Amino acid sequence: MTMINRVFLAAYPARIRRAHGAELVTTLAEMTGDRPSRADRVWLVLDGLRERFQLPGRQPLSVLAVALAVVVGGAVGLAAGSLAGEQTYPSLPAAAPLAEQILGPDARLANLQRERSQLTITGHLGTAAGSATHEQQVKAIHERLAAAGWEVAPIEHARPAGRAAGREDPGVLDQWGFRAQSGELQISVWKYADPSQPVEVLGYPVRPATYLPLVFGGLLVGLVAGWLIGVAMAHRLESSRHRLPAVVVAAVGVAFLVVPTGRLYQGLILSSRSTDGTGLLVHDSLAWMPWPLRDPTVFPDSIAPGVRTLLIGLALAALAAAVAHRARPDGIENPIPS
Amino acid sequence: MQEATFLILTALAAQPRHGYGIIQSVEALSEGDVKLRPGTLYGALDRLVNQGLITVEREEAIKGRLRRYYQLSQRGTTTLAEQTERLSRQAAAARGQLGIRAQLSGGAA
Repeated sequence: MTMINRVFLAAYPARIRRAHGAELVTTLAEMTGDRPSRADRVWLVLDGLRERFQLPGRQPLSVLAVALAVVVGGAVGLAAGSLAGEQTYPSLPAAAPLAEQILGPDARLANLQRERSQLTITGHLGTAAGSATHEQQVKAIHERLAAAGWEVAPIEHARPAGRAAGREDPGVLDQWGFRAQSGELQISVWKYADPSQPVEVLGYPVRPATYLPLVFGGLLVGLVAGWLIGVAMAHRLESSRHRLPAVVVAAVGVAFLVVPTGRLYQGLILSSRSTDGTGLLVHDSLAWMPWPLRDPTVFPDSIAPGVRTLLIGLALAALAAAVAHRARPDGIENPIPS
Repeated sequence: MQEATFLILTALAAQPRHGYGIIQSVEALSEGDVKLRPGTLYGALDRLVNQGLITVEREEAIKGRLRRYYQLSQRGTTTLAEQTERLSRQAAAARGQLGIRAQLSGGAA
């Protein structure tokens, strides 16, 4: 078989190539007198691609295999797209200079933490500002940032819910705060009405415009790949002599895939709804594993248990496909060396 | 059963045929209405083999090229006969209904 024919036949699923590849080339040559036109070759490729998408039948097992593969494929695509999108996030600035800019040079810093996508700064303001009321302290920071060119939102006064309902709750304090943005960094500043409590600043990178397109692109690619894999799996199951063990292995794999898949779609919904620019990442939802799929001693939650569960499920699905794989019922293979 | 599948089984009813032979036979049987391409033919043949409706009768290698002849299996023969019977009944029913329509139209006129 010539290289060009091999390239054209690559459009076909492996089962068709293995069983009918040589015949297909022979028939095309016979029909066209060994001189297939460009249109003949285009149709050859299009028919092969169409064959890849075609279900073997409407049997419930085939439909179920494709449906599950599409759902799982979409979830894997979401995770991949989100991971790719994360690489486009701006990096957070160094914490110490930012703390000095926000809280002032005289602040007594209590905590400086710079994680992958979050900055945490807590500290008490300098002596002069320390004697001011909590609201005045927040207002001083607000004015300092505005003067430095930050886009600052109005100061909010959050009252305890109990007081709003006419009850006093001494355990819950008033707090003042605001949001601000400078370039690709967004922060929230809050101060509780308690002199012992420091000013809390949380910083996040602003979600880049590339993130959601990459997530939805990943979803689309994953859905299509899931369909193709599901169709291939359905064909294997339909003609397999080992259908029952393959289905059992696949069912165990699906059991592993349910939670991480569900979490990823949940992450998509929450991430899409997030309008404050703090940018919840879709694949972070893989950290929300229930016991016993997560390690409660690790904080902040790692996505490793979710990724591990997803990979175990996918490995079992691949094992099911391998179990289902076998020669054709009548042993059709290409007998002519290609 | 799709029209192309029915015609492929019909093409193999009388004698085994290879790929190009099936394409020619289907075109002739359908009076040019159905023209199979190699890609669509072998997708259909693959499904029919899996369903046990056709089997490979023999293989030939001519100038290094594979020709594989397909034939109807017993199950394929039964399926084709049943499908033919069903289509005949439906065709007869359609002819009957058209006859009634013609009578009614004639009466109205």
